[in-house]
Amino acid sequence: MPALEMAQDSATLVRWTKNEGEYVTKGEVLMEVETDKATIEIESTGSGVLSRVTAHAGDQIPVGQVIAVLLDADGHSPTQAGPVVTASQGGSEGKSQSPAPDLRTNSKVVKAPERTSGRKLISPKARRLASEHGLDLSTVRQGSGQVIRASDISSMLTARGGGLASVEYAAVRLRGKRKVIADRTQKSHQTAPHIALRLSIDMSEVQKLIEREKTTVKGGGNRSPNLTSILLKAAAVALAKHPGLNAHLVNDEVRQYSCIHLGVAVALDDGVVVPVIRDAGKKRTVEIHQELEDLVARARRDRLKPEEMTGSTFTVTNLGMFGVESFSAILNTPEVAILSLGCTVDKAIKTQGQVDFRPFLEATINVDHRAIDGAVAAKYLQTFKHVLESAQVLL
Amino acid sequence: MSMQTNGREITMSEAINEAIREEMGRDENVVLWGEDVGAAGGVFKVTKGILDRFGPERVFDTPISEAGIVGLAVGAAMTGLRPVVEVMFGDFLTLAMDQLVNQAAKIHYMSGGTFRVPMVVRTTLGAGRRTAAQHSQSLHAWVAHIPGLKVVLPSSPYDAKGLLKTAIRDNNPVVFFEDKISYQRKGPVPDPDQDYTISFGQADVKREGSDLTIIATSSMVHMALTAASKLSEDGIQAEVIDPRTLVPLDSQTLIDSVKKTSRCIVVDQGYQSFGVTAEIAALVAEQAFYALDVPVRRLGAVDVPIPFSPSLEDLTIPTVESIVVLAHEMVAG
Repeated sequence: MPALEMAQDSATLVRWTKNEGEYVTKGEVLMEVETDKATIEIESTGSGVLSRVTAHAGDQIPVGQVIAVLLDADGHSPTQAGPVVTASQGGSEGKSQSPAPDLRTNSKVVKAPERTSGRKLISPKARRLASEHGLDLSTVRQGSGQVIRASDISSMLTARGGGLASVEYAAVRLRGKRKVIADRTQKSHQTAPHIALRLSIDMSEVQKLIEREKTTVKGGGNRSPNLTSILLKAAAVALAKHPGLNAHLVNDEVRQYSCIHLGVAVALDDGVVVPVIRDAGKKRTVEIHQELEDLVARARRDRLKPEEMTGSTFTVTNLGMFGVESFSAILNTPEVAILSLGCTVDKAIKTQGQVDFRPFLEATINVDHRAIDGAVAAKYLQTFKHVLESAQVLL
Repeated sequence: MSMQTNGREITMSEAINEAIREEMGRDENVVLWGEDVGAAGGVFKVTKGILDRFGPERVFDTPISEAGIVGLAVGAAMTGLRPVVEVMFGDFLTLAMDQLVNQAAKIHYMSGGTFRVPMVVRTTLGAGRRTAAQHSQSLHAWVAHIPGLKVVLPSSPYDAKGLLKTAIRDNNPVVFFEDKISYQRKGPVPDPDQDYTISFGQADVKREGSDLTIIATSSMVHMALTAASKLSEDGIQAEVIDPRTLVPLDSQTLIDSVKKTSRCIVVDQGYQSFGVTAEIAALVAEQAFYALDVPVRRLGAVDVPIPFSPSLEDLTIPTVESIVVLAHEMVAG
């Protein structure tokens, strides 16, 4: 692993761009590594067959550790100068499982298997196009001239199908907030086995409550509870009765919390943030309303402090304002449960032999099955439903 | 954005004459001197009639002393006038270099802004007139190299008038290069009652195209436009861009064009080595590298003292033919 910065002791391997056993030419991009500051493409310092790969994507590797070697066809390191893909100056072999390549035995220059001439010439534009379309440069043949040009790449892409070469697109690199979201959702989705349970809740009583409070509370505005704050309050009340869902799963250990810190997903133009309402179980609904209003306003101006976005024990996410009826969210790991709420829609139901229309809201709970079984999650949802339908203890 | 011209066409020489007259009429501090600019109306007749119109107090002839002409302008500009002086041949800027490089360009900075030097040095460039090595050079790169001097190279009567008026109103020293061979070239220019100026640092796309960008200066713009017409017959659409001012340089327009076309030729009449073509080519390579499909190519004057022999002289400067041949080569890859 090469050192890319002055004071760097390790780097993360993002990916190999060549497979083990593949022939690599000096100057070709061999891998991408990420330091604290940037993701960088690393070009091969020599030519040969990529062998004895010990590092994998995602590994954090100390600078100087040998993570692969380049060998000639006979399995020897091809040259004195460039056999080791990434070696420290001290030549330490680090954690490599394989024996170190013998640097002395073979000094003949290895020829690329399919090529007789040297490195192909390629124009900057052609190189960029190939990279943007994920085209392997070793498969590109130049046209009439000596140099691979943009037109060669275009015709290759057209032949490959889709005619993508002519389609313009804007490339936006994941960074900042977007990068954090990408990494966290991917990790959550890949590591936590999600299950989803869904039920409908009759919101008649809640709607009456909101109307009643609106007319009785002087000043209006955020001095009376709104729908969101009532839903959060109900989520907290139900959690108090089913504390198993108010937990984190960390290294095969479930940490069940006594305090209820509700994370609330807030959509921004450039991503999602999850500010936290602390001790939501102990707060009155109107307090939750006012606190959330302040958090959301500051989130939109990018003015949340880091500590206001960490430490949640359970997360609620609501897309009802977009007319979404129900959806299934990705767990905000290490939390073991997340509650997703849709909009309220009038639905026909049968009561006492009659057809009646009632406002219904769909609630979905996603849980990490490693910690929570379906029945436990179902009981939580039942309680949540009951709290709302009875509209008790919601102030 | 061109003004309405009512179909009036005048020569570049007349356009420059109009610009000087209009600015002298507009501001009594604008004064004019140089070799034969007064009674004779200039060796190229650019200042014809200006002495009669504005009188000997504001327009006068000088001895043959370029250092004196320019040095006097620096002092006059520092003390409140706005001199427009002529150095008949750009080849003899060499004699005025200390005044330009060490005085005019520096005084505003070295006086901490106390003095400014609002002067214009009009001079010439360009070969092709069989005037041999000392009257045919294009030395604009010499002054463009010096921070503190603005450098203007008009290619048309319209641009010449609008740019010269801007130069005279500018509070900094400006060197204004006119190609001798363009003086009698006609082009549309608005009526004298329509006061227009052209801002510095705004390149002009003289012809749009998609396959190749030709960046050309001064009279090379016309070479490039003729070449572009010929290339168009062969199915190659060349975009022709005239930077109009080297300092300040509108790099954005040049870069945007190359990003569109992926190919770039730079044409300029100065010596190719260490010159304007090199500067612009480097800029394109730095800022449009990943758009380039072939190397940036340059066409400048051949690195030799310009010969008197017509058959030899014609080989030293870029031609329509040399642009066309190079363009074909680049598009073919």
